[in-house]
Amino acid sequence: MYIEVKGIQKKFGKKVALDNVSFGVDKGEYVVLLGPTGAGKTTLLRIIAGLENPTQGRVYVDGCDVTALEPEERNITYLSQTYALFPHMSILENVMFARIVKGFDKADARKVAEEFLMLTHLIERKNAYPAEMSGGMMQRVALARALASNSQLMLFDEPLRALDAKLRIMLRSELRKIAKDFKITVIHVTHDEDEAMEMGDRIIVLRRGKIIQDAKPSEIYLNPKTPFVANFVGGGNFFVFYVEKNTGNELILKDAHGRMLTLKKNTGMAEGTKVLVCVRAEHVALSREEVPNAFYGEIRHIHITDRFYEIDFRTEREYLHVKIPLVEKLDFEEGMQCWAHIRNAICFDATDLNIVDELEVE
Amino acid sequence: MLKTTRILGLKQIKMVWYGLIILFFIIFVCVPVLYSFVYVGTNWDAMQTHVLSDERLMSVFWRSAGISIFVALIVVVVDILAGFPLAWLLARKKFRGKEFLDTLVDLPLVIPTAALGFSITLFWAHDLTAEIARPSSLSIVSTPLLIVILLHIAFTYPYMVRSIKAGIEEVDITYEFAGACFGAQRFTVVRTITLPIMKAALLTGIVLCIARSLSETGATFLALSMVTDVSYASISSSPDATLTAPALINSLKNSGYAYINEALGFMSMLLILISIVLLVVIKQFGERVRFPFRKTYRIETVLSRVSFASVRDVSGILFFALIVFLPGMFIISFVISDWGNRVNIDYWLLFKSLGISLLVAFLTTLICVCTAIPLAIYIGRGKHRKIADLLDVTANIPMIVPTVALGISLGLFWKNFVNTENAFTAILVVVLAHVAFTFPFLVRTFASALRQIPSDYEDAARTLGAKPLTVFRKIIYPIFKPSIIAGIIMTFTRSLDETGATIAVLPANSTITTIPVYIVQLVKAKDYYSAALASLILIVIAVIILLLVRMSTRSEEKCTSK
Repeated sequence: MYIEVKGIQKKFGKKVALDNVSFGVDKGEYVVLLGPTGAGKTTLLRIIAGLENPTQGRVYVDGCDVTALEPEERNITYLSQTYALFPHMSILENVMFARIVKGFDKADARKVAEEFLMLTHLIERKNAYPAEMSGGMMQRVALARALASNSQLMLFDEPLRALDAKLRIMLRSELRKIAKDFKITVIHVTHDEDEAMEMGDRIIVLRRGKIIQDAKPSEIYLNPKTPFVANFVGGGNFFVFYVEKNTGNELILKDAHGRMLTLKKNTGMAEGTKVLVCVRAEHVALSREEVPNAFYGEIRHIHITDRFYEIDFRTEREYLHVKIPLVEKLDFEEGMQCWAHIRNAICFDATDLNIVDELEVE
Repeated sequence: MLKTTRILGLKQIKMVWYGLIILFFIIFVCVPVLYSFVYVGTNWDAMQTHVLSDERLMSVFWRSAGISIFVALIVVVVDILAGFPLAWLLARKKFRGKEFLDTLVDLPLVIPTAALGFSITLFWAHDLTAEIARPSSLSIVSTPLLIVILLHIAFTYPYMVRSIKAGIEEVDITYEFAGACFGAQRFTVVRTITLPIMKAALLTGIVLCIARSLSETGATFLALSMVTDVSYASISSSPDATLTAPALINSLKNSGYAYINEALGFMSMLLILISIVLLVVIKQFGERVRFPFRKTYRIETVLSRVSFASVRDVSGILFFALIVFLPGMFIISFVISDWGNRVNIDYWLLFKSLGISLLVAFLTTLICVCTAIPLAIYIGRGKHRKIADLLDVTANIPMIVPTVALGISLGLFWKNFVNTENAFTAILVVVLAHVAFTFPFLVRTFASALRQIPSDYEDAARTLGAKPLTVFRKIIYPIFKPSIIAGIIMTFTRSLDETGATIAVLPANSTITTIPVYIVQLVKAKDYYSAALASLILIVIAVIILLLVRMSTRSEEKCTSK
């Protein structure tokens, strides 16, 4: 482990911002800390950077305990969401800053800074000041400045947040590519699930100061540990059912209105168990004929997004969100009555679950 | 690469450094301020036998304290009523010469009150001796109390205009548009929307004006000594003499009163208590009070008319010109028209006092810069929020305490350690007294500037490897330069300006005089022309300083607009 965070707790007065948080990061790994606003992501990042003291717990870098060290002694670069480009220095001076304060030779600092400005396509603007630059350019300057600092670990705090939607999506792959090219270890904080899925080698889901799940993106999507994770990453339609029968490889569920659902799942849930079922929008198909595992209803609205037809489907009891890939031919129209066929679902034992609380996104 | 095994890490060094700064703050600012309480407490027997039992002294004191509070309250009400039109004009209107008017309004802030007081009294006072009454002066006021009120309005007015103006500028004008769209009259909009939003700024203005008025010593004493007899013997025998509490302390100091230290210590303590209580009450009350918006009043329709706006603008400017500016500048015409009278001026003493003043102001500023800036950084950025907040509140106390009481308290404190008869130590003690009351200004200005800008730049610099001193030199100083320089200039002017604390801290017969003290002495000796010339010199210095402030704030605007 290159970075190890052990048992971190942080209190602001009586409020617990972080509660016994532990994880490790390998050298060269790109880890994303994902969670809603107020989950404690930024606090955790600032503790690793040394800008904040933990109430309890320790931070190790390369095996050394750095908890008692000041930020300037840690050689960890922190990139804030505002970029914090020094307004009174030119772009070149900003990028040279770290090398100069670390006592490198000025000519060397300049050479390195120019190299990174070249890499981020900003060399022509090196004498400009931050206030003269666009958001995307400032983001790249901040990145160049961080890279030129010669530190092996970078902490990105919502680095793409202040950018326009299109640019934000474009820069995801670029940022990851640069980190990988320079073999830099990154901890990246975001509340954007798509960003996390696209950029992370690993995702750590944080909620209310606690780690909920720490796994690969595919694992987070396929096997979310709690309904919160399922809802926050990927989302879907949630239903409450009760186990009618468990045959070992098939789970037969029934809801309060008598609707039945049969899932091919091997779980140990006993009969009568309350189950929270998550049906991903992309796991629903539409059908004109009645099929098993389907709810009857009406198509209320269809709209097109980048890869899907997104359909609001109204059953007798609820709205169902349905996604049909654009590559498929859609022979349904708004106002049509048809069947929504549930092809797959994730089940959570809801016996001790506060469902409303679990499905809150904030 | 990582040095985890050092005996004294960077964190420890920083803790020691901040500890030293806080220690300095406690020893040189807090303790001396509160020393009068200790002094009264430890000499309680002497207090009872010599001070509390002297009925005449106590009745004069309570009377003067009453007058002080009365003057402060009247002044603050007038300031609000007269300050609003001008502040509105400066905040919201665009017109030619606005910047010039803005600078003129600030002028009384930097002119030493002794000079201002002298000029204003010359302008208004009626029964001055015939030889100095000038035809160009108004000479219509013969009530000493009215002179004091006019004087206090003149030097507090800029504080009020500044605070209200800052408040109005902070109110997002779209709220007013929204109010107007719902059909509210212009005046109603201001009353129900603008005023409640800018209440905090108004409250700041009120507290500043009251604190200044309660604290003022030199000018009040000087003005009163020109129109009445302010010697202690005369005051204590006439039951309706006009005197403010700080002026009483000043007058008592030179009276040869038998138990002078006990009397002064006791009065300072009471005065400190009174000002703290008064200001805390006002602040508490002000924070609770709400502006009613149950109904609209018919008069608001009248006040909302366009024609009223010009009445308001003109009256605002007229008030400033007639009550503040002309009386304050009257001294110039006095010096010029009496140019022939300049025969017996003691230039040696004049320039010696000026030299001492500049030296004291310079040393005070130097000490303040070295200690107040780190403390402000600790308050604005420190990780121990509770300690920082406590320091922040404590740093306010010397600001609202009358400087003359502060001076007495400090004088009593330092007398235990140094001999103030010696010229060198006398200057040192004056400097320490000035540090005690200017220190909070620099801390406050800089700490609040720090709190307005998040620590992102400093955080970035630190994670990029910059050590604390480098962070200050390369990041904090360049970014906060305008407010640091403004704070430094403010400290320098306040020190140059101070009369009460300087007189209070030194023994009555001290040969060390700063220039405001020298002016007071000249006026007492009825050498009005020399006093006027000395005042004019101070005013010229003040104008130069004001222009420097303007230049530094202008570069701030340039920075933020880019």
